[in-house]
Amino acid sequence: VAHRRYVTAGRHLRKIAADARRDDVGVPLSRFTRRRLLATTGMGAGALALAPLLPLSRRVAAATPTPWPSPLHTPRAAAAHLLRRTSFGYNSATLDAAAAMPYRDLVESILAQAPQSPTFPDADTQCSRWKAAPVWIRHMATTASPFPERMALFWHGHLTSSSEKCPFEFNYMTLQIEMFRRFGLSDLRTLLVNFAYSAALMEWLDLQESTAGAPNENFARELMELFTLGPGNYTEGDVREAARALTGYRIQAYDAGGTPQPWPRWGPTQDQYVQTIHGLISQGWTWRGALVSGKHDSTSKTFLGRTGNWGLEGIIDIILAQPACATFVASKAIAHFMGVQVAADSSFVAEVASRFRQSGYDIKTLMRCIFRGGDTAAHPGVPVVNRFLTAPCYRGLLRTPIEYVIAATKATGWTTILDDCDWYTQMQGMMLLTPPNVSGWWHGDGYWVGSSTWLSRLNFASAVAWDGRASNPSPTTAVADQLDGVLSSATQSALGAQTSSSGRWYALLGSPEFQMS
Amino acid sequence: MSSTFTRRDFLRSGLIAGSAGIIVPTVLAKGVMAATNDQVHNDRVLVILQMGGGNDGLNTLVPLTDPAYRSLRPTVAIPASQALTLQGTSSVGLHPALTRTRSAFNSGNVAVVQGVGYPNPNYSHFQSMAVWQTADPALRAGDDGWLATFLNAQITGANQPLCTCALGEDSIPGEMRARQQPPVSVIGSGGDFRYWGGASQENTALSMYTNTPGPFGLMLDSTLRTLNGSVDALATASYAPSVSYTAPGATAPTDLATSFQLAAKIIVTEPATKIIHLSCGSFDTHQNQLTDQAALLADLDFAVSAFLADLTAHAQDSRVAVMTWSEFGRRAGENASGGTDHGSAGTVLLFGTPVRGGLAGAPCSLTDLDNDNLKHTTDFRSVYQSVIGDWLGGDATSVLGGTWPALSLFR
Repeated sequence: VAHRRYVTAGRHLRKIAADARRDDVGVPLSRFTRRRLLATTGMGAGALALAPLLPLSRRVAAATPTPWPSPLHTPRAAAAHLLRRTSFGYNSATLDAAAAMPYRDLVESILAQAPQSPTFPDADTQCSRWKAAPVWIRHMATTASPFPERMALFWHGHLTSSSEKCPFEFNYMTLQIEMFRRFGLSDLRTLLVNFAYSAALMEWLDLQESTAGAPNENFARELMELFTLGPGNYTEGDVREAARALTGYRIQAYDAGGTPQPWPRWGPTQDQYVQTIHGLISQGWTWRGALVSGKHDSTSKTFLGRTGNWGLEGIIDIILAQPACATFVASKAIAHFMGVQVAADSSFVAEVASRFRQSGYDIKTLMRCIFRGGDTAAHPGVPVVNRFLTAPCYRGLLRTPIEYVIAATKATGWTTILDDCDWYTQMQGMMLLTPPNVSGWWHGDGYWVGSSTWLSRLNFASAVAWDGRASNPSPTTAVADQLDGVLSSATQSALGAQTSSSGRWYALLGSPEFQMS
Repeated sequence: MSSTFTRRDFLRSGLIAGSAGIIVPTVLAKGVMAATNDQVHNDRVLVILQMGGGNDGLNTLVPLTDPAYRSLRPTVAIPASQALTLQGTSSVGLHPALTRTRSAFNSGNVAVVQGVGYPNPNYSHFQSMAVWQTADPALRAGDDGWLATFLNAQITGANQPLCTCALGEDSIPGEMRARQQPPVSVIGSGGDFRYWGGASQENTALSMYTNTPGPFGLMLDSTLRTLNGSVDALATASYAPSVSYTAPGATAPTDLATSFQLAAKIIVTEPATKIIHLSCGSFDTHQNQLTDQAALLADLDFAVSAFLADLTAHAQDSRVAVMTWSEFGRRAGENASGGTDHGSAGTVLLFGTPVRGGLAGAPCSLTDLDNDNLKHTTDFRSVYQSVIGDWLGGDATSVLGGTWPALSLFR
């Protein structure tokens, strides 16, 4: 059910409205009012319109005559490239430190970052999507361990759940993101099992409702189609058999020590129930799935050719035994971190998938393969090319809205706007904790490109450039460090035509170059 | 990719890239639009409304007399006493939320196509959506969206910024996607659609997005030109709604009604507009179907009704037809969650003054099922055949790669 939502523009936005002031060249900025937000539904219709069979960027690539000149042979540009894809942007000091390390050491130091959890001031902030999302965004922007956050975001956009179907009294989405943070670089089995048992997923894909005798197929289908195998690697019969195996799982309450507890009784009023739940959350209670045997179909099922009394773990183990699983998940990660052009190279994907599978689905191995372009250990003694640092990988991705807005705050050093970035990213087509539908966000970069979403990026650049100028470092330094000094002639001219520092920041942050990763 | 990229494609891409910098100002386009259409010479508009998630056709057009309906759905069937009766039939009625649709049906301005699907149905949201969007159940790699194919081949004015719009969306809908991407104004449901920094920032942006290198260069450059053209056109468009888009009892318009109001503004003020895409949902009612579908259909019912009344007041209703689609209907029988799982055949609705009202196609059997799913009676490409040929006045065969039996859906 679509809920209408409103948010009040943040402090600096209101300031613009109140002042109705002029920018450096005398153009009045438009007034702000309360803005109606994009309201998406659980399987929201907006992005349902996307045809997954038609990767835009691949098509456009066919018609593009001029590549970017790649600077990735220089250590500084290689470090900047790696930082763009493993964090949420950087400032010059961070780049200096990264560029001083040998590339492989830099990769290892990033893979070794220990996850840090954000601090939530109270239980209510964990439960409300509108309060939790800004906390996560600020954490992404400020943590010393951004890579685990990038991985959590990647899994959030692939193994989807949504605040839309979570009961508002509970912190299901916050718990799931914390699970991604903790297990996002572990192994795929651990990740999938924890995902399947997460309360947010059980609500999102109706496991909570599925009962022996009348199974709900929602999770069984999407588990294979979208999360692990991809279309064509299972039958409709497998969907129905898996759905039977996945019956009878229900969300269970656990105290801080991990001991199951009776579900908190509702009442006496809605408000008091909310207080009860928030009190338990503050005490460390959690909520996750458990098998309720009376509701589980414990008869024999034949799933992907194997017959047995399968349950949730059994289904996941059989899926992991399919080579298609490694290929599918590896191709998703390659597309996200290297670009759809590299992901279209089936021999490269097969090589990475093979190592991923041989490692016992170790996700760090997968990510090491990606950031070292497949050069790890396969060809001892033979110098190999790091695909990650070849020209087709350079600017082969568009920054997602989250990456874009945080990178702008890193580049300028102006962080006040982070408080409003949940709103800005929604205007740019990305509502954190509320993906547009069960297929998530990672559809190739054309997904982010629309008229109003791009206008929203440019207007964000305008807000940063004019409101954040007091603390801005030099745009000239930013051209070197943020854009690697690689500019199109059009951007070069536009930057040169600006007569103010704010104008130069607007051009830099709004440029096509800064939108790319 | 290179093997499928022909010389003709290359020439077309050159034309589009070349023309991107010299998009005809909308004010000029208004005068020349009717004359510049390549093959299509009319001022008709198609509004296509995607009911995302898989709308349950059986509860949209409710069987009133078939006992199998109630035995398949002990809890989620619509009681015959609640379904809205329709003139000319006693065997089916409309979902109780579709009150305004019922009135329009009885006035002869709504067509309901029954049993719409395709052979070997695909039960994946995304694959079945792609089937409908590309008009190709085989899902061949590189299929273009059917509307994009039509626009590219038959509408010269397709390079106008507001010729093709997707409203309330963030991305180009699949029907409008193609290897040779026609411009689409994709306008979301939030935020104001203008540059905060005014003309100087608009012009700076345009100057930067010119001959951008790399795989996204053409897409981004083209997006900026479409964006700026749409911003300019809508900034000067003179339109006031003649009806309220806020439903009785509500305090503000829904997102869908807001998008329909923007559609009305564009149609009233921009003669170059040919296709507008909207969407609503989610209709993926695995659980709680009775409540959720009723709320969504009520929203649709009100928004479409307000939109058509607004167009009528602006004397534009005779140029506009609305067509709905959904990637599939739902399973004939219910599940244990008060819902229905993914199914096959569904229902297509057409609204508007030009629509020939009544029932089209044939109802699906509720006893002769294919593995618990409905067997479709009408291929969805027959609907497209009628919409392209009879409404838009184009050549459907070249778009659909074949000729399908047309339905009599328009006056």
